[in-house]
Parts: sequence; C-alpha cells; structure tokens
Amino acid sequence: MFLAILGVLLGILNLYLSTVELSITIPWVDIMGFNFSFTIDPLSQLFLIAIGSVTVFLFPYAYFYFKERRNRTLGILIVFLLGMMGSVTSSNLLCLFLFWELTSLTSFLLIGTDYKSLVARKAAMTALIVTGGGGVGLLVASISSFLVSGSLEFEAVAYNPYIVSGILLAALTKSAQFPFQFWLSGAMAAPTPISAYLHSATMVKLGVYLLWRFNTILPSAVLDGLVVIGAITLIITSLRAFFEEDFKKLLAYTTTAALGLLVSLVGKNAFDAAAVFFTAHVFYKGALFMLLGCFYLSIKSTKLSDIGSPFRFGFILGSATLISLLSLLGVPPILGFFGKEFILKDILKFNFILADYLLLVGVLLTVAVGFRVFKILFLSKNKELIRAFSPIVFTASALTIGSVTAPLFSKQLFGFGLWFGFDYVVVVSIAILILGWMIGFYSSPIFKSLTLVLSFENLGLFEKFLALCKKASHSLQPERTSSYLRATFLGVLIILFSQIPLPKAGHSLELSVPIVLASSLVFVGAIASCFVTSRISSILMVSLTGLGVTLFFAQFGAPDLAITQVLVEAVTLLLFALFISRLPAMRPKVRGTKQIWNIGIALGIGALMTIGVYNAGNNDRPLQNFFFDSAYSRAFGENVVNTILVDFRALDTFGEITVLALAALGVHALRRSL
Amino acid sequence: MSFVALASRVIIPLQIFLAFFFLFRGHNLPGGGFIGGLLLGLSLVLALLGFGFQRIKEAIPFEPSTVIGIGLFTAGISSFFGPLFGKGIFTGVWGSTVPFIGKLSSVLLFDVGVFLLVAGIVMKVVYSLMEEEC
Repeated sequence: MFLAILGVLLGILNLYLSTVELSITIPWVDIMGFNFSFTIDPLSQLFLIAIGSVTVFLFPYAYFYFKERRNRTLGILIVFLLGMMGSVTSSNLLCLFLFWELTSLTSFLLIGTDYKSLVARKAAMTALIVTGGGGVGLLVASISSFLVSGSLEFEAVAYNPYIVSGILLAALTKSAQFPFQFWLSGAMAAPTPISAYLHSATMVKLGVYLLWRFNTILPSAVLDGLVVIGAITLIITSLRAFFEEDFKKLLAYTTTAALGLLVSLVGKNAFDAAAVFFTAHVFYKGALFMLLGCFYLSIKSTKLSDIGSPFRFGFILGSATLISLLSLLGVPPILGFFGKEFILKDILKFNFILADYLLLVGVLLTVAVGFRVFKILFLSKNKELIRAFSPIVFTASALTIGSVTAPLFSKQLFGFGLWFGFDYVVVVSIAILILGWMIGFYSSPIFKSLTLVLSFENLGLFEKFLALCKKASHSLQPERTSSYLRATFLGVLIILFSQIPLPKAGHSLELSVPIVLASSLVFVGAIASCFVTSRISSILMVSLTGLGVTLFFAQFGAPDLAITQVLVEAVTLLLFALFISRLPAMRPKVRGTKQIWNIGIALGIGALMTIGVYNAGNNDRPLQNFFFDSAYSRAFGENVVNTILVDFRALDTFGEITVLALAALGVHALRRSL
Repeated sequence: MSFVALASRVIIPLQIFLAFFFLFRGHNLPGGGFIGGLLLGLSLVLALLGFGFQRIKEAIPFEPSTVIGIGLFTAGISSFFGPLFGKGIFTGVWGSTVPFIGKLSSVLLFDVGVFLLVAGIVMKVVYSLMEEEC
C-alpha cells in the first residue's frame, strides 16, 4: 500500500511539472468503436492532482482507522482509485462508462462496509441504484454516439438529444444534484474515511467532471438549466445543513451544496472559479471529514454537541479543524477564500440574474452554516480534555496543510496573487461574512420556519420509484408457468412475425411413405394431446410428436439430430415414469378468454413454424454450402453437425452448456424451495 | 430380482460403452459429446429404476454438481489451446492418434467437457427430484 502511495506521489509531482498532453489508445473491440483510450489534458490533470493529493493522505489514515476488515476495505479502496483515475483520463465513452460504473460498484461495497447493519445496507443499495442507474445514461450516450458518428472517442462526440440527456442523467445522479440529492446524505452510513474519500473529495465530483468535459456540446438552454439546478441544490442542502445536529450529515449536506455550486459554475462556463473552488473544497472538506473521524474514534459520536471544543482533543486537531473551517468560510489567506472570491467575481457579473441571486443566497447560507458550526464547536463550554493521539490525527491534519500552503504557490498554480486589490468583490465578500456571522450566530430561531420549505424537497420520488418497480415485477412474475409460457410465446410471435419473410410460392415438397408416416405421427400426437385428460396419456401423446420429428430428421439426413431427439424423448419419458406418481392431478382446462388466447397463440406459433420450415427449403443456403465445404478441410471432421458444434461455433456451444449448467442449478433451487 | 433390475444389469454396461463410443466417433460419424452425455445420463436413470436411489447414490462417489463443474471447466480449458499455439480462442489444436479414441485434440477435449456436463445435468435433475429432504 505504501508503494501505491509513493507511486501516486510521484505521479502528482510529474503532473505538476508536465504540461504536455499525453494520450494513448489500446484498440479492443474495433467494430464497436470500443478502445481503451486515455488522454491527460489540463482538466484531467486538475482532477488527477486533487484525487492524488487526497489519496496520499487518506490511505495511511484509512490504514490506521480500520482495525477490522482492513484488508477488505483497503483492497476495495485501491480498486476504487483505479476506477477514479480511469474515469478522469478516459477519452472513449464506453471506456469511461466501465470505469464510471466501477466507482459506483466499489462505492456500494464501501458504504456497506458494516454489512451487518440494515441502515448501511439500505444506504448502499440506494446509492447503487441511483449512481449505477444514472451511469446507464453513459451507455445510452455511447450507443447514440456510435449510431450517429460511428465513433466513441470524445472528439467525435457531438450534440445529440440522446447523448446530452444520457450525460446529464449520469452527471446529476453521480453528483447528487436535485432531484437526486437524497442518496448522498444516506451514504454517510459509511465509515468516515470512506465518506471523506468517496462522498466528498473524489467520486461525487465525477458528475461535475463529466459536465465540464462535455460542456462544449451542451446547448445553452441546458447550461442555463444546470445553473438553476445547481442553485436549487445549493439552497436546499444548505438549509438542511443549517438545522442538522449531526456533524457528519451536516458535512454531507454542505458537500452536496458545494457540488451544486460547482455544477452552476460549470453551467456558467466559469471554469477558473470552478477549478479554484474545486481544489479548495477537496482540501477543506476532505480534512474536515477526516478530523471528524478522529473525534468519532475518541467519543463514538458524531453529534455536534457531543464533540464540544476540538481543542480538547489536542492542539493539532483543534487548529486543523479551525483552519479547515476558516477555509470553508472563505477567510483570507486560506485557499477557500480564493475559491469564494472567484465565485463572487463571477456571480456579480449578473449575466443570468435570477440564478445569480439564488447563488448569492446559497453562498450566504453556506457561510452561515460555517458560522453556526464555528459557534457550536469553538465557543462550546465543554473543555474536558480527551486524549486523541494517534497517527490518524497527523494524517488528518496534514490534509489541511494544502489549504494553507497552496495559496503560496497560487501564482504558479492558478495565475493569481494573494491579494486581488480592493474592489467591490471584496466589499461583497466582507458583507457576506458579516451577514453569515449574524445569521449563523443569532438567528437560527427565525430560520426555523424555513424548515417548512424543506418538506417539499424530498418528494419521496425514490420510494415511489421502488414501489413502481415492485409492482411491475409482480405483474410480470405471476409465478405461474402457464402465464410465463403465454407471455414468452406471445413475445416470440410478435418479434418473429415482424421479421420473417413471407413464403414464396413454387416450392414443392416431395411426399414419400416415411414422410407421410412421420407427419401423421406428429399430427395425431399433437391433436390427441389437446384432448386427453390424464397426465400420463398427455405425456405419451407429446412423445409421439417427438418420435415423428425424429423420423423427419432421420429422413432428411440429420442422424445426429435424430439420435439426440430420440434420447431426449427417452430421458424425459423415463423421468416421468419415475415421478408420475408424485405429480398432482391435472388441473381442469381453462375456459373463457384465457382459452381463446391460448388457442390463438398456439395456432400462431404453429403458423410461424410452418412458414419457417417452408422458407428453409427455399433458401439458397450459403451457410450450408460453407459448412459442407470446409467441415473436413478446416475442422478435420466428416460429421458436419459435430464440427459446427465443437469447432466453428464452439463459443456458442460453450455459452449453451453454461446455460444448461445454470438451468441445473435452477432445478436444484426450485426443488429446495418446494 | 425384478425384471427391470435384470434388464438394467444387461443394458447399463452396454449403454455406458455406447456413450463413450458415440463420444469418440462423433467427429466423423453421428455422435458427439451431447449424445454421449445423454446416453450416460439415460443409463443412470435406468439404474435408478432398477436399483433404487439409495444404492445408486452410495455407489457413485461424486456429487452431480462436481461433474457439471468439471465438465464446464474442461470445455473452458480447451478454448485456451488455440491462443497457446498462436491461434484464435477456441481454434482446434490437433495431436497424435490413439487407438479407439482417434486423434487427440482440443476439440475432443471440448466435447469431453460437453459430455461430462450433460451427463452431470441429467444426474443433477434426477438427484434433486429423488431426494426426499432437500
């Protein structure tokens, strides 16, 4: 693991130093445009540096945090890291989809680290359904991109309604934007290092990354929509955070708020602001989460009131918390200040008036939340000392260093100095700090009334969706064989009748004695099986049709098929002979509309098969000739059927026998459940 | 001894021999792994009719799931011979001739896998239906 950290460190160093755009393509499935292509451009660099920096601090932290299930958790974390790195560097839609879903899957496993708790399992499931389901949007985008331009590479992706909606779905679910914001606070059931890493610093930023990456193909109406969605998310979740008593949930809400802000900024094409705020947020929020983990290990609670003053856990923890909180508030000269400054600069241009006011209110609310936390934590009466001294305190605090030191390099990193000069932005910034302080410190009772607004926030859409799924599967799964058969055959009928070519006239069938005999056997068996009333005679009649078919195969030069058919008949008959005494009596025949449906479907299938067989005789058979010609020359076998099964189409056969094996498991399961 | 038991005593050895015979001649003449496996499974059903479930279960020392697994594994393994010899996956690789069996090849190995799997499935179905308490 330490090797991995070293590698990440070197990687970050390399990224800081390099300005060259790297790109590599490994072709995989050419005909579907699926390549493993990766490009590292400035945008990827920004995300890679952020991910890398957090990783370097978080892995040692997680190593010391987890006493149980350490290997499982760290292993999944490394797979997650792979998914993350892959997601921000891929330049092929399907490739991105793979890595994207890898992060959703590992997030599912990591939220469910404590898999014995029902809450954790439910939260993991919700997160998987929302983010994994949203990821399917990327698949939709991939397919439409391939259909439109024949390529999945990013440079070939152009505007198309399906592509855009696919990307939006994936991005908004991943970044927990309205109306999908509910999963992120649930995901706090995960242990703190996981929340710090996945649900604050890295994975949830993927949605922002995706919107940023495809910003150029999004039409302006969609971009405006993103600004509004982001602003709504920002305000709703900031309000939530304002009244939250649990520090962890509070951090989750402010994370969602920050994501809303980022989405808005991307929608406004304010990339400088987004980049700086993104970096600042990764540092202070990651640090706050990790510090919270330290408190939790000491006092086994994440309630704000239980934590008391962070300084009672030691000077390092206290000052790190203070710095991170100041960064959240946007106090100079910490990195968060620059983030906020850039955002304000952009908002105050008032290009998009309604959304800009919303954003301004949102920023004010976040500052108010910060002050409220500040008031509860640092002006707390609880000064009782608690020893919290372990390696994790250092690793957690170390992350805050980024917030403080990054501005020193601001000139090189972001191209701006430590001081912007005194202009109206600074005035607004100070005004926001003062207003936020007043709200956060003194006016929570007034704001209490706003909780009413929040009751509209979660419309229970997710629960309704789950209920709908349940209903749909119940109506599709009536657990009666006859219904399944009816549905299957009806489906086959509809699909095949739309595909099958109509029979051409002029094809004659030679009648010979064996053929007449075979067809009469099939005919008699089929008719009789409809009218018999006992199981044994019904089975015998069906066997009769099988025997007739066997005769057909033998007559038309397919001895293999004939042997197989007769053996299957024999096995079936013998099995029935063994078990006939245990089967219940036959149910009386259905009457009424169901019977009419059954008859109709049966006749339809019969007609379909007849047409199929008739057409088969008419084809010019290019495949047949190919197999006849090359069975010996290429597969070294004289039995054409066998060479097809084990050589030409071996992969198909392999798939079929796998299905057979699964069917056997199904029989086993069915028998057990009876 | 019932008539069925007597008949199974005569028929089963023949049937097992026939199963292998069909398996090995399958590449050039009617037969193959699927047919061979069905025949082997049929002999098992016949044995059950003749001797009863308990005796058969004691006489056969392995679980049906194991047979299915080995069959699937064998068929899967045979696919890798092609790439080993610089050809595509599932491409046949041919070896030397052995009496009765014929030419050894990865294709034959694949068919043996199918053979075991089909026989195992018949066995599994029969077993799970016969077992009173599952």
